[in-house]
Amino acid sequence: MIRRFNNRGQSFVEYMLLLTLIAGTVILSLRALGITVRDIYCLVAGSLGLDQSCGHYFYDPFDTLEAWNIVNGKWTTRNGKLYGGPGEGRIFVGIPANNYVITLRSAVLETGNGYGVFFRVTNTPRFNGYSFQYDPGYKAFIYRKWVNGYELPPFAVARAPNYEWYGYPRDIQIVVHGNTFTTYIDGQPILTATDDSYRQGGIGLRVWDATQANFEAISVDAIQ
Amino acid sequence: MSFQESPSLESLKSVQLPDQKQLARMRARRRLWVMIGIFAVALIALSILNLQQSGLLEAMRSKGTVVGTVVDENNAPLRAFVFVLGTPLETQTDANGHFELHDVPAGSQEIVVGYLGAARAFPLVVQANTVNDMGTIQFVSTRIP
Repeated sequence: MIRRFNNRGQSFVEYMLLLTLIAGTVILSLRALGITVRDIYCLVAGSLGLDQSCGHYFYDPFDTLEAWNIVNGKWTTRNGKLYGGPGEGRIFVGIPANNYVITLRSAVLETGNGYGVFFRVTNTPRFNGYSFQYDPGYKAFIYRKWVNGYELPPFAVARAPNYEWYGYPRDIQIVVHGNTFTTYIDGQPILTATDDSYRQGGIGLRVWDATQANFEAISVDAIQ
Repeated sequence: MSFQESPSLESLKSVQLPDQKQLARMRARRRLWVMIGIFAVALIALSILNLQQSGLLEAMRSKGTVVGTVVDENNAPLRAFVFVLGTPLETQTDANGHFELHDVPAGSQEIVVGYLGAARAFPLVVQANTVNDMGTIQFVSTRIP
């Protein structure tokens, strides 16, 4: 058998095909991980110091409530603080990112059962999403899933029966990354869980029953 | 090929064998095609993953019907809402607690029953082109949702 040899080497078309495939693989990998083009831009621009505002999706020092969609409840701002309750109350704000870090500054529960932080929320007021809260009923930190405004039993629970939740200003940080959610209180990791139901959405705050709580500021930033 | 048809030694002399340079080029080209193959496979796999995440595959999947009856802890019919998690599908039970959900994508689904602000999720593997009867679903209220 005569073996024919092609000595032309690699063609421009082959290199272009490979480059296209590499580019497509990178884009689809990032999409699968929930990383947007904006995230990449912010990562690059932030590290080069070109765009300082990039990566800061939302900040509210609670001078007003203009930014929020108040679905129900009693919410007021006074002296640079947000006061929620008493009674059932929910407020939401959209966030232009899928992955982010929520930081709630100086959250104080004065009375009642508690307050919670919503994340990955869509379709308000009959919303889908997740919430984090300290639940006195469970005596635990919990994550819940919400479906059309209905709350499901917790899908993650960290028991903390003697946790001093009343009267202490707490800094709550929730890292929402892909299907993994991690909450820190005053810098200490409290609860980590995974769930694949919701991949995007904004944030919110909730109070319920006889709760009276106040909050100093909230920010939502890109994950560093 | 018969012996008579096989090429003569004279004709083979005219065939040019590749030199070292040409062989190196061919190897490089083979490597390039291996890489193209690997990235093509990765691209296909990632496209499927992205499609799955976008819910398009779900929408393209064949569908079934889900029926059932929701009762409370005393087995009394409950006027509850019934949803399919991750889809816009929803319905409300009738006075007998009965519900029907049509066009539910086949495969693993979570059927969510909502009542007075609280909900319970019930996993179900939906068979395509079939009425999937969940039977009686007992919604037990708890002090804490």
